[in-house]
Amino acid sequence: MSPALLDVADLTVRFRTPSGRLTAVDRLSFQVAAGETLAIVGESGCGKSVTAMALLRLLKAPPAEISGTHVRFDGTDLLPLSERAMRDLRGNRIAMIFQDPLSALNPVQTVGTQIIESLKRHTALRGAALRSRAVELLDLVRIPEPQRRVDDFPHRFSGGMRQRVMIAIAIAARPALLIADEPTTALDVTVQAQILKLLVSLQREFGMSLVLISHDLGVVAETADRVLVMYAGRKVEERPVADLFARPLHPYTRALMRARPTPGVTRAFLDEIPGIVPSLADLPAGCAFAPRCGFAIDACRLRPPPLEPLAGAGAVACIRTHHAPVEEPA
Amino acid sequence: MSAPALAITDLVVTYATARGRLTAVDGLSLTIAPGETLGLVGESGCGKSSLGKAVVQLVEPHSGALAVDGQDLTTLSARARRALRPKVQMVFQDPMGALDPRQRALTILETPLKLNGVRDKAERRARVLALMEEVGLRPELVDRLPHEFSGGQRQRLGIARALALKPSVIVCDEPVSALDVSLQAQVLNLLRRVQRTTGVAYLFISHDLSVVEHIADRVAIMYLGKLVEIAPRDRLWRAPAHPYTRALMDALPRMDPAHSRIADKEVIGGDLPSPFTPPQGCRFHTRCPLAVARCAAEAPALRPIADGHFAACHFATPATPQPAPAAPQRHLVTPA
Repeated sequence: MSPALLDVADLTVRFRTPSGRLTAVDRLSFQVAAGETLAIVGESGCGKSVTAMALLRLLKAPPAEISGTHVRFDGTDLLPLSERAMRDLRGNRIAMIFQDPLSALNPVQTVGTQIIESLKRHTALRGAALRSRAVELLDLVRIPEPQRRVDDFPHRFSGGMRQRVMIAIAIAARPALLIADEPTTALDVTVQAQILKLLVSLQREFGMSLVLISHDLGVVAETADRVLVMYAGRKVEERPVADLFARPLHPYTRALMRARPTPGVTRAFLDEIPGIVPSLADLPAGCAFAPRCGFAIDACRLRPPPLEPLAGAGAVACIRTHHAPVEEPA
Repeated sequence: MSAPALAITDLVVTYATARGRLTAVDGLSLTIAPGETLGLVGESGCGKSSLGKAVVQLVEPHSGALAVDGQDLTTLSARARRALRPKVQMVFQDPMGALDPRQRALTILETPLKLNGVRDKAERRARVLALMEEVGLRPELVDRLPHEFSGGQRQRLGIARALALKPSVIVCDEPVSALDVSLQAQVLNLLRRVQRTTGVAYLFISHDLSVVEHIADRVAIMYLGKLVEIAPRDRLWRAPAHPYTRALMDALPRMDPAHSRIADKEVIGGDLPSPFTPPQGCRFHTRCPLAVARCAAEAPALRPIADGHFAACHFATPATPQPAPAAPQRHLVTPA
């Protein structure tokens, strides 16, 4: 693997709340190579979005407390960086897009003005070149009639077109890393496919790295090179995409896959995951998934399972994986 | 043969808006048998939620007929219509928005009973506890407020309320769209169990073809106010006849990276046209890979393709069903 563009070691995010300190992300480590797509997948509250926000330091601190060994981007540790230096990096070398493009766009400015704002801040372009670059960018994200649409306000665009505008703004400065937080969750399925295809083709064109945050295992399977599964703030499994879907190892990953309706496979009942995700204020002492896990034994409840590297590639945090790899719980 | 639980004939729903008249549902007909689940799939603005609202009489249809258990609501007096109202219930996408935040579970569930003649308080409470048991809510939750329930529990409460008056049909409008996958499975399983014990029919509205494909006996696909295809579930999956149905299936993300990667997929282009100015002729022709001049001029009628399978496309032919999909991966098989 080429040296990592992003190297995150022991990232921890805590929130100070009236009921004490909650650990939303617990010693999370991962790397993203240049040009690679890493998907971070999990259910609500697993810490996937908090991770993305913490990388760009978009969390208000306090109440958030971000710590870790390092968050190295292109060789520079971001953790000790000043707010000013972070501002220069954001939207420039690292960009982010969000689930809801309407709230991320300014409703009283034309989309052209908003793209130009980003170009002015992050590039040397000035004058008429700004507008023509904005039109080029709209064309690049496949917005029809970009010459005309550049002067339209966001409300004149459909949800999918707005997300295209957000992508145009995000890639204006040719970032090395794009973080996309549930970029297609609010979109219709045909539009979702268009946007995912666009992201992947832009990534290839520019050799950009992509961190895709999603709750949808299908979206992840369609786009990612590697997948990191999170549960209750911790990494439970990290694998190359083909390995993960061919043979998921962590009981939580397997349960997630079986709980999802699979087109073409007829089952009267889906496999439920009993219970609910534990509250961060009341995490079990051992493996956070143990109370819902069909494989759990006493040892699982004593201490959190260590993340074991796998032969080949990837890692899994489960002491039962090797004992009950594919069989169903009795 | 007993009357269909729900029969919709030539239903038209229009709205007067600031931008002019919007026809959300444009002459749609379908029936649902007792105990059957009909899945209704479409993207934003296709009119699927308007259809659901018309069925539960939250919006007044512009024209057309709507019959529940064989009784046509549109020809009945207001009083007779009210008497039929308990027969059709609704489960909403956002249970928090559909439950009064100041009412305890007991009040939420006993109100429909009270309004429909269950006078005895003790009997009402007993019925409420039975309903809660039916949907998997512990009896001690009876005095809790909606915000004290988890998201999945709130949806269970919404389902219990819909069941209170023993309806013939429940309109489920995106009932699992706001839930995480693990809760989705719990709610979908609950809906299936409830149907098996009560024999209620579902009109299951969703944007998610994979959820509908799991839960429905038959599937109907809507595009801009019109039905474009309707077929038994397996048939639709193996031999989709309408290009829009195929586009929806192709766009569906699969958990199969060895065979389905977005970079290699054909993806249908374009956006949904505005429902205020739907295209002439076939409404799908502006995005359709098969469209020819005729499609822009002449709207295709919904016509039979095979037994119980109808499609509205000039080029829909009785397709040869594809072989059943390859055996699922081992970890996805539920042990018998």
